Amino acid sequence: MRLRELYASDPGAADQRLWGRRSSALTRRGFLRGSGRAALSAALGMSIPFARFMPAGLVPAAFAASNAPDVIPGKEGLVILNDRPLNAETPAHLLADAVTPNRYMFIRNNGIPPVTADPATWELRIAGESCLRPTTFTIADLRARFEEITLQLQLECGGNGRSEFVPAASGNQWSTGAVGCPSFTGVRLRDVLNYCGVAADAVYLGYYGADTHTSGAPELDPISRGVPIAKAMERESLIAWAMNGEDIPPQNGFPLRLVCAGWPGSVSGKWLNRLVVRDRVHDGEKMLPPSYTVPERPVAPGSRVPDEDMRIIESMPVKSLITFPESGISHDFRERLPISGHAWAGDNQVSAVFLSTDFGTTWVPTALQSGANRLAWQHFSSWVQLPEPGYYEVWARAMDDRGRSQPMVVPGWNPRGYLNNACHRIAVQAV
Amino acid sequence: MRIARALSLLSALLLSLTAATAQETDPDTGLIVGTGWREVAGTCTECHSPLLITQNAGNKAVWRSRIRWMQETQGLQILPGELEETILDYLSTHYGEKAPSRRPPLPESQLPANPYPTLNDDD
Repeated sequence: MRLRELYASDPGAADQRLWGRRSSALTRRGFLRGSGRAALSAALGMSIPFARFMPAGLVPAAFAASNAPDVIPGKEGLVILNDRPLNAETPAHLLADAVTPNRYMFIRNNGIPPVTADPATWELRIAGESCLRPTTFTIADLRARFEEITLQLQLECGGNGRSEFVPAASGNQWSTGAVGCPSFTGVRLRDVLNYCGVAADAVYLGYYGADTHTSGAPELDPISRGVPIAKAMERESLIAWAMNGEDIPPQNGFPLRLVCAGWPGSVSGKWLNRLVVRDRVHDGEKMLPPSYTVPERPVAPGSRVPDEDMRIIESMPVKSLITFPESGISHDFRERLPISGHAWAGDNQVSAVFLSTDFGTTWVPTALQSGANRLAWQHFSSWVQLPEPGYYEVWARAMDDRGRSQPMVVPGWNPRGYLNNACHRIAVQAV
Repeated sequence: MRIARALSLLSALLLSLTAATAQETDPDTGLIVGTGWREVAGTCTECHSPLLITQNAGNKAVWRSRIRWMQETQGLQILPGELEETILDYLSTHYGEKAPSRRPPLPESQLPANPYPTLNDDD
């Protein structure tokens, strides 16, 4: 039996059999003991830092990089950047599906997810100084009282692409995989807010979740961000309890999350248990610079930018990803090479995606589809004919409906390395 | 047994990968072993994984500003001056500044088989 099959049939047994690794059903964390840990370390050729914190369902980076089979249920093939708090990205070629499956949705945690979460008793409190009728809902209340909506919505971490910034920007060194576009089911945020009454002076919607700070300090929130009221009131902003028709995966916010697509993923709070309608810009954790902010005006690389010159990131810039073929293939130059992927543009539409196989000298357009709905990514496809044997890079460059394109080099440096929308590149050896 | 074969293949591959970049690392934290690594392991992994250290880069001033940010917002205690110096020396030595590049080559893991030897190979 292959590793993948073994894990598909009984992941717990597979963990136990291969690595002696036991993962707790309660905490979903793996415990590597004695020989099990040694076996996994030997197979990796390195140790696993903090193996005891390693959640079940994730592949150590070295395995993922080596095309090794997936390990564990829930997630598949993700590359772990950080195991406490857990952060893991999806290799580009695993994002080929039109609708991102739950197992390929990236994980960006700021804290430790709740250990127990019961959808039957979960409560969401809507309050805040600009909420007229503060109300507490169960998930059943939400379902009974408001129209159920399903939309395909694109979420990308604001720091996706950070690894390319020089000087290095602090934080998880995402390459291209902190993005996904699953389908979410829930109720419109605006229906719930209108039911609770939004005062005329309301400015911002803030969220709180049930995750806890990694230091264990109960007085610290790992993250509490949100969106201006206008974004909250868009018809695509959801309070969601399902992802692709199933429970939201534990690491992606089970049992309830906010989804305000097209903005940094951090505005879409996970393990959602409280919303506050604010009469000012929300001042929760990671709302203030340097978090999720960029300089108001462009700055030279390495600049120390004072807080008052930083602004909160809102709509994300135009971007695309080649999801087929996988970077690193060799290809018969006499054969056409099909190329496909997705493009997205924050609150905007993508109007075109171009490909270049000559380092940006010439570009050809691709066939670009509409998104399933507003704020869903758009699929592009085409093919290229490589003229002769040699090393090629295929570059993809999307343009939004306001004529803004992806840059070919890394865009403007900013202190925390956000918004790198440089064109995606894959390498092909034509033989 | 196929699993055993897959496993031994995998471990051979990965061992050869690590041999190419031999630098002694501590098996528990993954930190490069060098002056100050124990202090870093003891001080900097209470609230976050050592992976947050090993994936980042910067000179002393950059690492110092990260420590200040953690002290101001994340509940990190004030560190005795000598300990902080040891930690900063270690981090800036082993996880120092990146080489300047506006767009680096694609990472090795994403490259196809190359018909030519490279500058990294001996003549």
